[in-house]
Amino acid sequence: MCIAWCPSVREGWRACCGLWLVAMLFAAQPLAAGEPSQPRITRDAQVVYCHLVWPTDVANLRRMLRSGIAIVVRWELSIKRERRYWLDERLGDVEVVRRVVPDMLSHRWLLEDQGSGITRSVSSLDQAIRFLTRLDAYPVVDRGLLQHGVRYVLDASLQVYEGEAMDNWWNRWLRGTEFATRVVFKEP
Amino acid sequence: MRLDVMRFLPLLMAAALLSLIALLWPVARGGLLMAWINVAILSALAVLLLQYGIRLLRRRGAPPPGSRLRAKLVIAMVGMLMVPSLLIQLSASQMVERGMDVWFDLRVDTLLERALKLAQGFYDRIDLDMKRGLRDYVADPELISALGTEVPFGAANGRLREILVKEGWDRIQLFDINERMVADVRRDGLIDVHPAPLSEAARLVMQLGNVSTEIVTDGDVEKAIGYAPVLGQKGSVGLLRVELKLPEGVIRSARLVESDYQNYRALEHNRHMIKDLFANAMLFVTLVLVMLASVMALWFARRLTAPIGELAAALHRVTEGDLNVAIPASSQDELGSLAESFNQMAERLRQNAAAIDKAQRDLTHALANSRQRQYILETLLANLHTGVLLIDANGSIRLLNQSLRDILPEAGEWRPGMALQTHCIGPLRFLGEFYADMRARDEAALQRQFDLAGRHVLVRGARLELSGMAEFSGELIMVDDITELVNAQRHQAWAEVAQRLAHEIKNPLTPIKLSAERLQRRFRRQVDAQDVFDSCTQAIVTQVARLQRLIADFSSLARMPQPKIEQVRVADIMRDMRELFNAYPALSFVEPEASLTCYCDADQVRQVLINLLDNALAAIGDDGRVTLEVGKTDQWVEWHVLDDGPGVPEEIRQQVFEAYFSTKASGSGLGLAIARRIAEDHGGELCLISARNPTHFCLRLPRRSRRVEEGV
Repeated sequence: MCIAWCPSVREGWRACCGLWLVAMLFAAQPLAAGEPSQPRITRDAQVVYCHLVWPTDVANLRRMLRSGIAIVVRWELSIKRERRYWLDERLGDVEVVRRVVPDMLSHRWLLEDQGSGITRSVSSLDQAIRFLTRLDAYPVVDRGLLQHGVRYVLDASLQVYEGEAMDNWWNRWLRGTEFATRVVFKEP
Repeated sequence: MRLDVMRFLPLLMAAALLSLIALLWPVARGGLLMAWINVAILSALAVLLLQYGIRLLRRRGAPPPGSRLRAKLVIAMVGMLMVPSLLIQLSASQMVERGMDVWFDLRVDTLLERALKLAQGFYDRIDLDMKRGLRDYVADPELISALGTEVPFGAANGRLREILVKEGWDRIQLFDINERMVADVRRDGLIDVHPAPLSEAARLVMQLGNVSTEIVTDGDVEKAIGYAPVLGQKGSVGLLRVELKLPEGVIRSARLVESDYQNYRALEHNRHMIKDLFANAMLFVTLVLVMLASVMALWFARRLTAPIGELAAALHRVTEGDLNVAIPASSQDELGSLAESFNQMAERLRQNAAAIDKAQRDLTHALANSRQRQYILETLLANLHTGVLLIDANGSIRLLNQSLRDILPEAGEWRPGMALQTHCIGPLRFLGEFYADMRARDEAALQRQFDLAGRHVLVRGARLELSGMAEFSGELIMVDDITELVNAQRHQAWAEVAQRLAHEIKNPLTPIKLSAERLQRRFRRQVDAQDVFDSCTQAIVTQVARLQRLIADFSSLARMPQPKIEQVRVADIMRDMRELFNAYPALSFVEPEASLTCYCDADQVRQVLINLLDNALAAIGDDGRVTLEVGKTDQWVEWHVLDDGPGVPEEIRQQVFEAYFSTKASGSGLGLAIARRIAEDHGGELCLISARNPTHFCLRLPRRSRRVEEGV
């Protein structure tokens, strides 16, 4: 079939764009359906911390972990300076990858923070679930980078992998975002 | 209007593909790569079909030859592939469903559960035994006393060795409250120079005072680590840490069981995803096969339908009248034979068309020649002054021209197809007699002269025989009006006679006259009857003078000189006439245009005008009026002489221009004849327009020279 740049080809491209627009709407559907959460921002003298909770079905997580299925969560945090008439200025990105591997033989849970490399074995399932679903007082940005009276945005998104991390480049694109939230704060 | 389904088929297929895309849209959270690939392939196919469908809808006119057949072939071939592919996919999906059911059967689940519990039981037993053994030494007095000494290092080694042997552990370490290792006994006898710091679990045990165990993995080696506080009277005074290396074979098996169990659970958890993955993989294979089949079908259909398309296009051109078509016979199969047959047919058509074209040209040429000949003949006949009458073998008029009707006005109603003899009646009887005479004779030609009332006609006949070239037989009759010719001959004869008479009579008249005058002069006084003598001699002189004038007129008629034609101003002639007839108040002149000229001999024209004016003045009474005026047309200068005299009697109107006809006692009767002769010699005419009220004679003279008109 000969494809020439003619009106019919333009029509075809329009149809293609329409198709992909529909695809994007479908793909964005889980994000819109996510439960709203109440993220918090705290500060000390040097650092801004965030407090995030993944509002998920804990029973399902518990069931999977008890079945021996490892679970990996990937938090992606992005700090931006809000701008009114232009795109927000990105100050920095933070990635937090946490993994819980069940040890079925010893009834313990191996907690791994792949960013820091710290590994801990716990015997409490609730502790493992809390490890996956919460970021408590996690440092996100140095206050020295922030300006007084300026509004900043923290965008957080979460991807969840069951079993192996499947840390392939296409996996990030193909796997939808499980949870996303945003908090706007002003540096006093 | 018939709906062309084939034009909408690509759009329908695109709609079906879009529906399939909506149906297969990936919404699950895992294993979607294949699903996205399928969606991309389906989207690409849908876009291509949309584009092709829109192009089809926008196309005006009939589709290219062979395109419908090509589309049907492609659809048929792809359909033939798609149906079994879809059936195979459905069957495979069912098989996978059943296989999954077998795979995740309850018995397998139970078996794995029990295996895992067995492995867990081993670990539990290790844990239980270690905790139980550790509890026995929580309040061991030797250990407490060893920790209470000033220098505890090595004090408890003996006790620890006993415990090591008794419990079967691989290593026992004793830490004081400050987490300093005070004793370390190993089954292999080695001692760590730099012991590892206590773990969080160990510190918790020391703080909480309970017994705890944990499994530590070091490469392929797993160790069970137990912690137990050493409790004195005032609480925890130290920590007992024991290690037991788990048997490698058992551990490996237990870990394998755990791994299998985890994999099984993971698979079970992703059971639907696996099914989707399989279905998507099958769909991917099907789509790839369909695309390959489509490409192959398109290639094959194009290869197959190209000769048919060329044949259809060539047939279309032949239908449009273009016979210069040829199809390349590229193959040796039936299509090649068909192309060859078509080329032969086109060649024959070309030859036939050329022959028809040539015949048509010949016919057209012959028809043109025939029409041309007919046109020439008709023009010839129309312009011929001779009357022509063609009569066929049946005696019917086949053709006659206008000149015949002009010469014989009685034949004005004759038409082709009429029987000649039936209509030769009255004045035309002579023609019928001539025709009958001609048919009765064997001569090829016959000529006769007939004198009709005031006219003379010459009739000539010719017989037309049937021959090879002319499929016609009959008689051709030609009629000529020879009245003028006869008159001219008669005039010529009269002129010769008059000239001879004038010559013979004129000579003795003068001596007679002179003799009479001499007698009068010499013998008048000698005679008695002088009156009688005078009257007699005077009569001789008068009659001789009259005879001399008569002879002069005869001479003039006989020896009329040729006019000396030149361009003359009409006003000059009019002026001469006015001066000449100045004494006649009854005569009035209407002045002509100053620039008006005519070609004539001025002296002869004056002679004609004088004759006309003399006649007019003689005709009017005392109150009569004579007018001379000049008019003009494109061709003529017309001299009009009008008088209100008694006019010309109707019965002699035709004779006034004849020679020797006169109503005057002293007239010779040659005046008007000479005047008409002069007018005719000039190429004009003299005619009587009105016989009375007024009596109107008109002399027409040409405005242009004959020599000029003839281009000489």
